[in-house]
Amino acid sequence: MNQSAPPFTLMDINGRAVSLSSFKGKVVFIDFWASWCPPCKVEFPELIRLMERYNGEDVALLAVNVDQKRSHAVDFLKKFSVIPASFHLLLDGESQVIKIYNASAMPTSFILDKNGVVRHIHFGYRETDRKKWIEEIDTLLKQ
Amino acid sequence: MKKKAVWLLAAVSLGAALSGCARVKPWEREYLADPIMQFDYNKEEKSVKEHFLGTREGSTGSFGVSGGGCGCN
Repeated sequence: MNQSAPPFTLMDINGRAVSLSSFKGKVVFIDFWASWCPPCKVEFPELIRLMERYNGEDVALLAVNVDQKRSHAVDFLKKFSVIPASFHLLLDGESQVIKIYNASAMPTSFILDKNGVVRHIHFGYRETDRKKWIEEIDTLLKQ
Repeated sequence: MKKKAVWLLAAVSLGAALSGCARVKPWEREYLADPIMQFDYNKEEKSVKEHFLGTREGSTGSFGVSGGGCGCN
């Protein structure tokens, strides 16, 4: 918390390399999730709604999937027809990045300010989290 | 000598007990989270098994009340 987020580069679901450093100047929401994790399944549509809310603003979401098999993530994502452009689906099947971030729950979310500093961490998912995310992102956008 | 042996045995037992424990990280629980890891992951199969067992045993027990017979219905 209040330290620079560890840098990483991961492949997205379409096979393109995506680096955290390329989002400098934006508020970044990093979410570690898996298709086998029930709270992640509940959280996922909320993340999509969150990004729809911030469409066109300096907010990016990196949804880092830690399923060992890519096909599991792909099957899960078939349920969602429209995913906002600012919603980046990254694959960490070998759990290299989640280890560095040491997520102590599934899902775990990190909210970074525009300078890439971790300002908020959420462990697990509760219905009340959406309200907190919005408050925190709005505050960081104003800074 | 006997005291030493007791200590050695205790140390070996403790070592064996501790080596059996491993902390599983949240992102490593994919296989543990698989429905097949549950005792009754298949509700229908469980229900059928209990029906046949109850019928064969011909007794009332923890599965509820059932009649004796072939277990066909």
